[in-house]
Amino acid sequence: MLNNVNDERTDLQKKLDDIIEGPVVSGIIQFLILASAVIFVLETEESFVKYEPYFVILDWVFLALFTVEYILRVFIAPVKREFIFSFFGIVDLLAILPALVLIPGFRVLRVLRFLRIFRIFKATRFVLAVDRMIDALGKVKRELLALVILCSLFVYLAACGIYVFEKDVQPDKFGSIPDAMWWAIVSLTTIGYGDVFPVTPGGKIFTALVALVGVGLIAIPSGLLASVLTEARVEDEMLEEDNGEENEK
Amino acid sequence: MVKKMKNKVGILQKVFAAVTLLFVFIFFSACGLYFFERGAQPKIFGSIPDALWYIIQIMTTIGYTDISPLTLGGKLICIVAEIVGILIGVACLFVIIIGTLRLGTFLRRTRVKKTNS
Repeated sequence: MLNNVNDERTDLQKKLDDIIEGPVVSGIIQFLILASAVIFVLETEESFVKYEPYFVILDWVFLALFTVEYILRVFIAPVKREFIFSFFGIVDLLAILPALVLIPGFRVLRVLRFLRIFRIFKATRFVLAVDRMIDALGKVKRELLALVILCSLFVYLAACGIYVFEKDVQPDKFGSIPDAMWWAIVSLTTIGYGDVFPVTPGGKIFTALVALVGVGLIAIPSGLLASVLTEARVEDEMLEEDNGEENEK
Repeated sequence: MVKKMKNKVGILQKVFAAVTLLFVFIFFSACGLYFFERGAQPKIFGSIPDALWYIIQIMTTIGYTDISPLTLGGKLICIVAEIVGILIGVACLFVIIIGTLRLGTFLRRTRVKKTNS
C-alpha cells in the first residue's frame, strides 16, 4: 500500500497497464509491427500486386489496432502529458497520425510505423547493451572526430591526385575535383560501383597505393569502437566480480 | 633508451617484411592470373600489369568492373587473393583492437601504481 501512495490511478487503469505491458500483449504488438513492415515491403513487389485489396484491408486493421493501443496507453499513463511528449509517445503517435488525418502520401509515411520497433529496446536486457554502446561512443568521441577529419583530408588528397592523372583522358568522369571525390569515396569505402575508374597507368598505380592505405584508414573507426565496447564489457564484468566478493565478505 | 631504440627498429623491420611479403604475394598472384587467363580473355588479361591491376581491385575488395576469371586456375588464384585480402583487413582490425586494449590496461596499471606509491 505504501508503495502506491503516489499512484493515483484507478484500478481499471492499473489492470490495463499490467495487461499491455505484459509479455503476451507486448509480443503480439511487436509481431504486428513486424507484420506491418513486411507488408509495406511486399506491396512494392510486382508479383504481389494481385493481393493489393487484402493489403489495404490489413493496413486499416493495423491502423485501428495501433490507434486503440495508443489511446489505451494515454489512458493508463499516470501523467498524460509526460507520456505524450516522451520519445515512445511521439513515435507511437507518428506511427498512426499520418493515416488518421489523411495526409496526402500517407501510405509512404507508414514507414514511420517501423520506428515503433524501438520499443524493444525498453526491455531490460537491451537497456544495458544500448547504454554500453552510448558510453563507448562517448569515450572515443575525440578519436572519432580526429579520424573523420583525417579521412576527409585523405579523400580530398586522393581526389586531387586522381584528377591530375585522369582529367585529360576521361574529362567526362574526372572533369572536376568534386567528380573525382565521388570516385575517391566509392573506392575508399571499397564499394566500387564501376561507373568511374582510372584507365591511365599512372592513375592505376596511384589508385593501388591509395586503396591499400585508405582501406586500412577507413577500418580504424570500427576497430576503435570494437575495442572500446570490449573494454566496457570487461569493466562491467570486473565490477560485478568486485561486488560479488564484497558481498561474500 | 637503447632498448627502446632496438624495439623501434624491430617493429620497422617487421612492417617492412610484412609489406614485402604482401607485394611478393600480389606479384605472384598476378603472374599466375596472367598465365591462366591470357588464353581465355586476351583483351582483359593481356599483360601482367593488367592482371596486377585486377588483383589489387580484388584484394582491396573494390572490384570496379564486371571482369571475372573464366579458367579454373584463375578462379582459384582469385579466391586465394580475396581471402588473403579480407584476412589482411581483419588483421588490421585485430591490431587496432588489441593495441587499444593493451593501452587501456597499461594506463590502468600506471594509475594503480601512482595511487599505491
